[in-house]
Amino acid sequence: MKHSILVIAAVAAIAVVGCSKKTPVVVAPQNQDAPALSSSSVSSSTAKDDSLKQAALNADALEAERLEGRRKTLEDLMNKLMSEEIYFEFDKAVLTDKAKDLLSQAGDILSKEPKLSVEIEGHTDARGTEAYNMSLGGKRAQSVADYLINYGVSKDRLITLSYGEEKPKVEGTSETAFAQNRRAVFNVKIKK
Amino acid sequence: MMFRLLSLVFFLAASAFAVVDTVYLEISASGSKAIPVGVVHFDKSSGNWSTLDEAPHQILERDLGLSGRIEPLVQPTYNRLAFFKGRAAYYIAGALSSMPDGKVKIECRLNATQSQELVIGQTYTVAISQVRQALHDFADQVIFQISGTRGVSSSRLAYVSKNNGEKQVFIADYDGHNPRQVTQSGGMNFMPSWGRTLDKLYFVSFRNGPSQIFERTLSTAETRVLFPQIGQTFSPAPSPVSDEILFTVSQNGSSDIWKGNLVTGAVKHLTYQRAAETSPAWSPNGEAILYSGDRGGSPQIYIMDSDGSDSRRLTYVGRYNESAVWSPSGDRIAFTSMNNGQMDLFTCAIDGSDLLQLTNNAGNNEHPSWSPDGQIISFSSTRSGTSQIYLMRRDGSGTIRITNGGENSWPSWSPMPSIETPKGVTK
Repeated sequence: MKHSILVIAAVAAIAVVGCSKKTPVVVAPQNQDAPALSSSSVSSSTAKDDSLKQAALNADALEAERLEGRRKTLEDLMNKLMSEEIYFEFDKAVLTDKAKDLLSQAGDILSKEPKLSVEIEGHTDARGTEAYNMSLGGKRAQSVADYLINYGVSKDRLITLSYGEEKPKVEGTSETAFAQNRRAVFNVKIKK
Repeated sequence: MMFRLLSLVFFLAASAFAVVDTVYLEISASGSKAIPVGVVHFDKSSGNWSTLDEAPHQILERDLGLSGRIEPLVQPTYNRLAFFKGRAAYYIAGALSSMPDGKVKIECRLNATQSQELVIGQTYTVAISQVRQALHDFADQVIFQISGTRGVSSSRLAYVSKNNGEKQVFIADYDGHNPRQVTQSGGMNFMPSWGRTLDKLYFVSFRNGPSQIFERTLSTAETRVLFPQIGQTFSPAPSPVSDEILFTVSQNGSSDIWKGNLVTGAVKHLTYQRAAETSPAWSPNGEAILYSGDRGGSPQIYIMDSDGSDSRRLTYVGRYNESAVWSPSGDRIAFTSMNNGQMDLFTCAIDGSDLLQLTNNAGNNEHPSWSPDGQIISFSSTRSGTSQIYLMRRDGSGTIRITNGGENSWPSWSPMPSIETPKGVTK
């Protein structure tokens, strides 16, 4: 949701630049989280033909829309499967076969979409101490990242974070609750 | 009349410390070895005391009893026979009275049972909100007089309180009274740890995204992030003797112990194993470090020198041992152990021997933190259904609950206030 708003905001910013008759200036979107469309916005503002500019603008908007769609697809895919299945055994950071299969699909999307980057959150269940679970969450996030790196995704497109047991998906002390809380959460972002 | 005399003789009483035979006994904290001291209900005939949530004798009774060194014998009035029977050679008595300016005058005295002669006398003139504080101060003086070591009734606890899914850091008196909220923002604030003075508190927050350590100066409410250049940090453990702080850094899936300087900001990486090293804690002299490491597959307690050298394993019993803390007296280590999903507290000698189980079959018990005199351990337990904070003597006896409502955990015991005379004391 946040990302789609940013995309719209960036497109709107480009639209303003594109319609003005000013000499070209490098106008990068002010918002740091906005997608990296500044290079094409510069080229579109230098174009002398309004219709060409419009076409380029439409292409940019379409590309941004497409990218946002891919981002959403990837994030949903990763999170949906990850949250419905047990991906880590208790006190373990080893990926199950199902997790590996899923991550391979995610890796395929990532290799086709170089503008997407992934923030991987590692979470644990409430058993054990908060401190040890912070390290376990980090281990889990990293084992997901390592799989993607081995699959060919560049390291600098992946960020790992641990929340330990501090952000449970479901409250409670049943084994079902614990299993759902041992998870990785993915935030897929569009790189600047 | 007695009190008029008392005010006059206070200086005499203070100087009499040296003259009176100090009842000094080297004792370990155990209910059976405690020294009986009588406590008489305070005279409250003048004034309205409905805003006091506990009577003075109740506050003193708890302070003395928790110390593990004194066994309070409460009587409504001075009862020589009862005190003799209970072998209480001394008793506490006192009075509360309202002053014209709205303040409260609290007169406290420790008397010899047989002669009723004064041993310690102190008069406090304080706001009604500070009555507890004044009585804690007197309890600590009595504990010092009787046992030779100052009591900890004037120290505080920091802890984490969870409400509506948010964790915030609070501070309260050591008995759970007078709670006040320290953190407001971020939704998730935890792992509080006191610095060397009562003015500095350290904690971890996710308010900027990744976990980071914050330093809070309580007198100014100033908060700063420590070592922001390092990605994810947690488990702050400030040194009891220097400006250094230990903490855990989580990077690339590995957690390591680091040491940082609070003044210069310099950091040093102490452990490098691929395994997780967490929960660092200092020895009282700052020369050794306890931590937990899972190089054997699950966390166990290790000890190393303060420069990170010479690591060796301390715990071999149980599969999951974590959160070790060193007693201020230096002789024991308390830690959390998990068996079949249940967490219990243990202590052991500093070489890992002489294992003593402190909690058993009473929910999950975690977060041990020693009192400054090493006689009491605060901890959190789910024995009542929700997580609440408890105190017990170092041998596991005398457990009392000090928080109610919500979910409270992670107590961290403060150092003692400096020995200056508390505000409002008149002599």
